[in-house]
Amino acid sequence: MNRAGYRLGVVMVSLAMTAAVLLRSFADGAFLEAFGAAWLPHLVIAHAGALAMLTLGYDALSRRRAAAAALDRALPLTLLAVAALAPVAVREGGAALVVTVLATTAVSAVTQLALWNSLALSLAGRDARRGLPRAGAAVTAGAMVAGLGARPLIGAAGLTALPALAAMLALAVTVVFAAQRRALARGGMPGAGPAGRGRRATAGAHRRPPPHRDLARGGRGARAIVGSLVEVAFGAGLKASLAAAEADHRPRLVLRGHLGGAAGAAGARGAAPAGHPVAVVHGVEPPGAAHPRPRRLRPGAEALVTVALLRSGDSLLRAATCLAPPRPGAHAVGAAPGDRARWKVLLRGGATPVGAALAGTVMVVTGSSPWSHPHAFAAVGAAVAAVWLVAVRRSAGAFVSALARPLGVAAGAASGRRVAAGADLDERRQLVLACGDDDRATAALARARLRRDGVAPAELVGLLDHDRAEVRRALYRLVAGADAADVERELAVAVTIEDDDEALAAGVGALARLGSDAGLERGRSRAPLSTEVAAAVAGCELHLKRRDDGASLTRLLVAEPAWAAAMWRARRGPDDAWALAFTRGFADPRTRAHAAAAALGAGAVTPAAASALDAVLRALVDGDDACRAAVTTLDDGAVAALSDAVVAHRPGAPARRALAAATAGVGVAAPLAWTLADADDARVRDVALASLGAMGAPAGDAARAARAITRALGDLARADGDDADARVTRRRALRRALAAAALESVAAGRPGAPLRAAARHLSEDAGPAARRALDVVQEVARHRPALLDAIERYLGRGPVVGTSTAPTSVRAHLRATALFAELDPADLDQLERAACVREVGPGESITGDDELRMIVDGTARAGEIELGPGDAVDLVGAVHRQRHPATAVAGERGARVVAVTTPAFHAVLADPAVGLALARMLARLPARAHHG
Amino acid sequence: MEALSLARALARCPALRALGADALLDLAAAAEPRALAADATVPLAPGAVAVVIAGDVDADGDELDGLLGLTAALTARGASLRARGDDARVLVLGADCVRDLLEASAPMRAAVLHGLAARASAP
Repeated sequence: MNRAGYRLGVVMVSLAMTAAVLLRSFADGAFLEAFGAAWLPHLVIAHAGALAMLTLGYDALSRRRAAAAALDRALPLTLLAVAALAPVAVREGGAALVVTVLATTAVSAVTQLALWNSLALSLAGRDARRGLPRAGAAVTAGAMVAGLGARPLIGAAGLTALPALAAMLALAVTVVFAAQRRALARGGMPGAGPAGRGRRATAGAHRRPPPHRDLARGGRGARAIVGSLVEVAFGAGLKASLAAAEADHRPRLVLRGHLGGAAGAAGARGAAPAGHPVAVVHGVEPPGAAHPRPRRLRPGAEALVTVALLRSGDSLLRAATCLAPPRPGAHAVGAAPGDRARWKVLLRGGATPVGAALAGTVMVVTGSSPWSHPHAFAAVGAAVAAVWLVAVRRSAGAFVSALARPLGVAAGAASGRRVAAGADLDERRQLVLACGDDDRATAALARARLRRDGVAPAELVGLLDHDRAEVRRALYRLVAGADAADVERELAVAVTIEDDDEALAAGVGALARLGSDAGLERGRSRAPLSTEVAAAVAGCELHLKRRDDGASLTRLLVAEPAWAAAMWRARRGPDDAWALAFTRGFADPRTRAHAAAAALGAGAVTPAAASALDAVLRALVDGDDACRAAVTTLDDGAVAALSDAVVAHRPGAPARRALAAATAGVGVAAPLAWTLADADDARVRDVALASLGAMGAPAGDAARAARAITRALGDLARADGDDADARVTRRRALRRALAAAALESVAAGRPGAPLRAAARHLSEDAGPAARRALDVVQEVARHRPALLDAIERYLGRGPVVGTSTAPTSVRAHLRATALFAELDPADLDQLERAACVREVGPGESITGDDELRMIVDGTARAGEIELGPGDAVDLVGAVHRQRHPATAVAGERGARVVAVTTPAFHAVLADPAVGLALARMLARLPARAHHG
Repeated sequence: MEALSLARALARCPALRALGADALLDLAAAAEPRALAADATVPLAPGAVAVVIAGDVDADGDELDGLLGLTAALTARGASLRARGDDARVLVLGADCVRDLLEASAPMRAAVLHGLAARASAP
């Protein structure tokens, strides 16, 4: 923030508003005096048109940087000239008066916008959030000073004192403006932002600016139309009263612009005693709103309250139509801060008056009165408001997208685009068909899509007359995994006439999972001829406690793991049978994933089930692919059971972290991930929140996300030290808070990707990217002031990465490496116990046995490649858990390395930060190199 | 069905195969399909990667586990996509998608690490 520039800017805009109100009050009053109230609508429409034209002219002239600076300097002088000429024009009357009245409004409004832009250059980010409303209050204060001071001024010095004082104020504005620009030149322009705008077509990046500018323009215009309609309703009828007042030679009051302006105009025309009519020409947007039909109002409290209600209603409507920015105007179109100023002028000075003039012209031409056709009037207002709502919300969404684009966020992700629901029946049938696809991946995708679309079991059962047996089979399994008790009868009928053995087996199983034996008889009749049906019947009898043999349980466990898990949760049979079945299934590579899925889905309902679950979790910690795959096959019931087991059984942090990591991208596992996101161990929460983020649109749980934010902010506040561990803890806590904020945003129907990207840039970058990230957080999570404050405190602590002191301890050496720079302190504790610093003599082999070594001092050579501090030796060998045949030797001065045992290294690889750092290091290695 | 077919194309990529069906559907919805004219070169934004849907495409001669430009993405470089011989189609994954998935998905991270290590050690 440029404090001097800001303070001078506040003075400048306040003085300019005072001058504008005085001048416009004088000019409008003179117009009314000369032409009468009948011409008021035409005047206001002409005002809007003049303002729009002047704005477009200003924009055209100011496109060149040099011309823009000169133009901005000239505007206060132009205001000064208008103020000086106004009394002359009023005396001349006629066309000169009309031109002066229009010029007064247009020049003062454009000048005010240009000055405001200059003020906005002095601050950015959260400073702007605080500072600009205060500056706005100063502007209003300036208008009130003009209004309240006008009456004594006129009494003391006469009516012409108004333009005279306005001219003096305009002169003062010119001087302050020059001083403010000097202050900006000296102290910098944080609000200007980078001006660079990429135009090159690039895959993965936007090729052209999104349409939010057009939308914003449309929204602004619609808003102005609505504002005009509201005001017409507010003021209808006063015209007639005003005409009557003229006939009675009673004095008039003119409310114009801000409240202070209204009072000023009242002073200009002579304050009316109570009971005298008032012409209200207050605009929702002061310079722009057309107001053809003023109505009778009593001055004083009633007028104030009415106008206040109008403004409040306007604010409320704006807030309701706003997705991200509180004022979806120039802020929304100028994603690059330097671009906002121009669009602020164009929207406020162009789109707004054009919309208002359009509404006013239509009403004047048609001669319609809101009270003669109230329903039509309300309908038009509502229709335009709907357009406004849509345009502004889309514009605001696109604004967030544009704002987040430099952070690498794609447009669809930033605007919250999601997979469209497959409501089309034909598409639904195709999805059902795909569920029976021979390709398992395709079938899994189709099932996931149907589940996301929330297809009811009744609808699925209705499709069981499909010709293809594969499809029916898939449908039976889909129904079996759902809460489908209400379709049991239809399911039983379908099973009775099922003629495909595999489909029949699936149908019998589905009925059994519903606790029904309705398919048993049909299954038994077919079992002698089909092994699938026989197995299903055996499973059904197991489920319904008609038998208890271990062989049947084993077959069920490895053939239908979801069913086996559901059965075990339901009936909790003999433990030894379960233990044996699991052991056999888990030991066989062909059935390992199924056995793991059954164990995960059964939870810890019995000691044997708990034991099996422990075995699967241990394998998950070791990175077992079959167990990871098993997590992706769980159904809702299995996930609920596993969540209960995690809470009751409390597996260790590594197991919970591995489990959380395995849920990434598995939408059905969201409840489990939410449970883990509430863990006492921050490392588990880290992974669980990241996994939920990778689900795209997880089951919304705003309350849990809010709790996660609170906990992360608490962690952030507690990590108050200045050592490396504290810095890492703060960074991780900040990312957790923002990851949870992203989930909260998704739960509220807003995009989460911008916040996730902001988390990365805030924790990894400094300078413009971090500031842009803060901008994004302010837009998307502005309802979280505690989060914004925490980010500011975080950024205020200085450099976010690196340390200036040379490491001396093993721990410090580990922390200084790129690989472990972001490792959680608790994990680093474990790693430190398995690490040491070694000195390697000149020419000696630097490659360790079963160790990952990183050079901290000296050099080494691996074939043709020179290694230095920060490089890892035999990185590939460490990843593959085998020493690479290529050998690196220390350089002439020898080398010092920090060595970590391979098992300890693999133990911390579960940390995403380590995994990413390792991936980056490997990516930098040339292909087919042998040095590791 | 368009989203499903795109997700199916992504599922054929070895590095992404380990992702769950939901993640693949989301990824397909967020990805940007691009058509490449024969022998035309299109720059890939820094951090972004691409998956080939149809045709023969390289990204600076770099392909890893079905992901074009991944090594460039990890080192914050941009890359160029080029269709070899005939027209081709790719799905471009934005930098944010790639980072989110790499951070969140242990299976994908493992696949990528394995691929990178194999690339560095291949004879």
